[in-house]
Amino acid sequence: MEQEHIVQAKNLHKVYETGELKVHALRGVDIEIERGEMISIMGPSGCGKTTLLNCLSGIDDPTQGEVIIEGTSLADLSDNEKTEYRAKRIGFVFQAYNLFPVLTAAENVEMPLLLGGVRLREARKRALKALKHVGLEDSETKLPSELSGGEQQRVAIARALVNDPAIVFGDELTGNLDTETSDQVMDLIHEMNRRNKQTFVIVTHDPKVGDMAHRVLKFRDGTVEKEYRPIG
Amino acid sequence: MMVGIMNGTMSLVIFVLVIFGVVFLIGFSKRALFRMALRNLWRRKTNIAVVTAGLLIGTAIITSSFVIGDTFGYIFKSVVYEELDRTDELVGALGGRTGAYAYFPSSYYQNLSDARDAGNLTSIDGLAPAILESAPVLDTLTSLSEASVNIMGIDARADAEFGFFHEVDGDRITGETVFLQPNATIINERLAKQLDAEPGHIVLIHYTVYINETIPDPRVKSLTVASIVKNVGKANFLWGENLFITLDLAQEMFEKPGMINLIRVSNEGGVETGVARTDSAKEEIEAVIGTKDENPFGLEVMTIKRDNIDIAEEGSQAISELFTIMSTFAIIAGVILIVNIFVMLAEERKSEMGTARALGMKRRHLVLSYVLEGSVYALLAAFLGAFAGLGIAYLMILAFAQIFGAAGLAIPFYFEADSLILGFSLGALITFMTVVLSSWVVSKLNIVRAIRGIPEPSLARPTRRFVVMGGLLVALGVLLTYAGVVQLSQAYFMTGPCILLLGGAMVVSKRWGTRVPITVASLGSIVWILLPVDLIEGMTGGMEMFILSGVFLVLSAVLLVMANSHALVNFISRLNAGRKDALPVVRMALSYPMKKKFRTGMTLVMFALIIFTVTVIAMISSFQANFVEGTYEDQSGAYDIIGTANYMTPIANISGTIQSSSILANRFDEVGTMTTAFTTAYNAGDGENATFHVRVYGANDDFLDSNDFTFHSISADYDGPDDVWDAVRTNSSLIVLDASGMLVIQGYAPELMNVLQAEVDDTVVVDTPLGPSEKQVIGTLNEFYFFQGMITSEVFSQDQFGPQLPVLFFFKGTDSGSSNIRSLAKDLEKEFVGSGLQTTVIWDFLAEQLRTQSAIMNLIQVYLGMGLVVGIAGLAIVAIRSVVERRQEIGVMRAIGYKRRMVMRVFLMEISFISLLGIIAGIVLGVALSFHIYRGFFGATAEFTHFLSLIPIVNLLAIAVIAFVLTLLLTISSAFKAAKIVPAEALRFKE
Repeated sequence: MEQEHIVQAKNLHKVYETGELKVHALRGVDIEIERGEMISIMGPSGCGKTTLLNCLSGIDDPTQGEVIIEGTSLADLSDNEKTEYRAKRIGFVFQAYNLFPVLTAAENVEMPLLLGGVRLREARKRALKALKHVGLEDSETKLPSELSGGEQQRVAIARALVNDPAIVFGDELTGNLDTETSDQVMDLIHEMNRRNKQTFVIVTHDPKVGDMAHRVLKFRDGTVEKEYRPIG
Repeated sequence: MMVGIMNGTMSLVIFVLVIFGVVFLIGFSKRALFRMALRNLWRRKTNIAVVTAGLLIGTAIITSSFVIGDTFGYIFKSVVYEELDRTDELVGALGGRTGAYAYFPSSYYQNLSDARDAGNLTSIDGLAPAILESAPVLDTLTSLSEASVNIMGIDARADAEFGFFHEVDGDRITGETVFLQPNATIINERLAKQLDAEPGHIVLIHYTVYINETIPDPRVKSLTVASIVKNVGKANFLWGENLFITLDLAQEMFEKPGMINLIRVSNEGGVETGVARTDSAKEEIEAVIGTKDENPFGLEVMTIKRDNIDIAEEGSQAISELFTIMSTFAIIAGVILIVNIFVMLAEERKSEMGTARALGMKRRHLVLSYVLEGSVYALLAAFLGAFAGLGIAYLMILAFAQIFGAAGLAIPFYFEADSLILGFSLGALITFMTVVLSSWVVSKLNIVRAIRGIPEPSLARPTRRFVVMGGLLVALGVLLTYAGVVQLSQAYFMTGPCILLLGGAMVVSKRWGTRVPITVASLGSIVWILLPVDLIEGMTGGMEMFILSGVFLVLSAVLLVMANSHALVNFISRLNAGRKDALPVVRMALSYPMKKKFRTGMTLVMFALIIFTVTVIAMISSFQANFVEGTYEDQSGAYDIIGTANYMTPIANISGTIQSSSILANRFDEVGTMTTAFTTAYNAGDGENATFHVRVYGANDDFLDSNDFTFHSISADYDGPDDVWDAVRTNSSLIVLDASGMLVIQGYAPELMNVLQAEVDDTVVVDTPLGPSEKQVIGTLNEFYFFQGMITSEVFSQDQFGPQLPVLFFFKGTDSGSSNIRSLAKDLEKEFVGSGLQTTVIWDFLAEQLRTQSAIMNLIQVYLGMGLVVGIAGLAIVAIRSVVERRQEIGVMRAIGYKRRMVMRVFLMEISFISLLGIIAGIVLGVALSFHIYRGFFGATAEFTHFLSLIPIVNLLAIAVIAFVLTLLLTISSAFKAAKIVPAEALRFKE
């Protein structure tokens, strides 16, 4: 049976212009990601990994080329439609956790649900469930500043997964964590992927994290240099 | 600015120059720091405008209050110079029983003149004898009259030393040739205008001569207008309607051969500079004629010009101080803004400050870097602020000119360079001191947390230092409260318990957390300040109470809000729970300001303080506008018309004349009359050194029976007003005083009013021709507009001061209160034209007074409203800062599903929330505090429902809308910027 492509990127180019300086961050990238797949994008700093992630998730527009998610070309969507799509179908986890510092853990997690129009009571119920999944059921009223780095990242994962997104993008999500916490977070991601069949696209420097994916894209100078499936 | 301040100004300027000189000298010796400071300043150019605008307001307000003082000082002094011209002193004796100058032999003038010829009066360049009386004058051709004309008998030759008369066609005359014609008179333009007189017209002077000093003998003198002269120089004497005749003619008319009642003295020097020789001139004159106590006529050298200049300076200084005091809120708000700005600048640069410290920069270097940057801001803002203040003052003076223009008072704009320099120096100094303090606070940081951008850990429980501070505040609060009770000081008694409560909350917060104790303390303080009960009788307080109440109320309210921020956010979130898109926007918009407690609190205080002040002024304005009835009751005694006759032409039997008049008969219910005698008196409790000139009013039986003047206080021995008036009628040692002395005692009127200050049950010693006479004050009235002095009965007054006829009249019409009263007043003037009776319709007069006061209050409201610029600049800076520091979060918001318009709404709502909270707090507290003021206005008649009906809802709404719209206008661009941020770029952003 032919695998369904949840994300397709065709001939993606991204050029940043700063005055007269032009930086080619992406130089004709073609990628296809299957539903339920966990893919990692690896490469040295400045090779265009994060730019690719931004273009794939619709928070940035490619200079040239097309991104199709779940059969819809992002280029055909307005900014509002892209935003609504992200709210309902996409989750994000960032290296610096990027939780809202003034909201409690539960309030952070329920935010995507509220944005999707879920009522407060229902949103809170689901947020608490998501926090329980990541092992933080006792931290719902804590502010991010009262949590450790690993706990914050777990809250971020709960926030990314709470609205049951089709695809989750993670940008260096273990970059700020120690080895043990990093392992715990990746185990959690792995479990979510296996249990919920959610698609994960993870940008990382860490070969250990990269090798936990089904497929690894090695990036260099804005293009996919190498693609392989890790063993085990 | 006033001369007295000159030295202070110089010292301050030198102090400021030294401070900035030292700062910049240190800056030059640490070039790297200076460079860093300047580049930091220049880095965010858009900030410079907003920050400078916020900082300059304090200086602008200080400068404008000085310049307004300058203008009024200039006007007041101009009046003095123009009305006295070359006359610096008057030699004479105030003490004729009518209040006019007493007569003395002209030989005194001759003695002085001889002394001058002998070279003994070196400080004097002019001496002239005169007779000055006041009398009504009628133009026979135009039939127009003027009730109070200064009749001046002058010696034209001696008078030449006081300059020329200037005829309206431009010729200069001395009067000598004019007076060659028999019965010729020179009148000034002011009088000519009143009479519509022209040269050649015949005018009649009505006056009274007392035969043997007792029997009044009314006379009329016919004169020919020979010349009309401009209201300048000596023709403008005492700013009056002046009629000049020869001294001989005056002596003949008033039957005072060889007598004069004034010697005018001009000092060496010009109109403005001669006053400097006042002391030596007085000394030289007294060496010839003796002092007041030495010569038999009680002649004294009245230093009229210097006294009036002093009063002018005191008056303008009082106006300047009033504006400065009222501007205190804006200045406090300005200081808070500076603190806020520097705290935010520090937050923005936290990472680089951490790096600098890691590289070896010491804390004092960081402080210096900030101080250098702040000094540039301080100087720039103070420089621009001084000129902005000049502009503000100019607009205020224009507005004042509009209000007073109708009354014929010209208000030219005038300022002295000293005021600008002083405003600049004070503004720069206040900004600088705040900058130093803020820099010291913000430079304290944890290097690692600063570099890595980790937020400061929030403390679960207050620190030991916090608790100790609380303990110190408790002690201070107790001390202040005790001082308040002992010294009967409202200021201490109000602030003491507030500080005590706050300190108490800090102490117990170690055990119970901050929320509940702070809530209780702030609520307690608000209730304490607004408590509509005077717990201790006799406490006094002035303008400082307004400032202290405002500051403590606003601080308490802001503490209350910030302590309960979580509940507030939850409450508003729940209100929006059912609306799609609304909840994520509301939650994000409210959570930030409520978590950034210091920044939000400070901004709220700024905004609320300004709105509070403007609200209180709006409320006072409303009370004033609605106080006609209360004022009428106090000031009118239920009469409709007040009439005054010239003392030269008193009216013997006014009721009889009215009854026999074809136009007045049967149109009055009551006619009260008063005679007046002019003397001196002192409060026995204060001693003879505090002797004041006073008028003794002799009220007739009709007045004592029928007046309804309200009393401020009545001696406990009397049951009520009727009892008091009966006592005055039957006992010559009992008197009633008007309100002017009480107003000075209670601090509502300045000391320079020079009135006898006495309260009920005080004993007053009155100087009478029969010797000193002790009187007991048994009542004080609320009235002060139409007569000022002590009231006894007409019979007792005549017993002590000799025969007098009434000059003050109180009329109550049969159709009292109707518009017919105006025509009745006109008919009275017609009937008594020979006596120069001048009438005032009391209701119209008071309404006009209140309208003017209300217009001034509205103007002050606008003036204080300018402080809003501080609040709005503060919010604009918060908005700009929020967008910068939350750029990355905006990226996350956009990534997880916030649409552009939602991001914009988050920022707009955040600013609106702070601004609305400030506006609501300011208005609510301002209205609440105004209830105290309302009770002061309306006294016993005060009712809460009436108070509510006086709240100027439209005015307050306008204030709220203007403040809110201006805030939105200035912050909307930041919200737009936030919405336009591209999420991918924002996520990459590092501040």
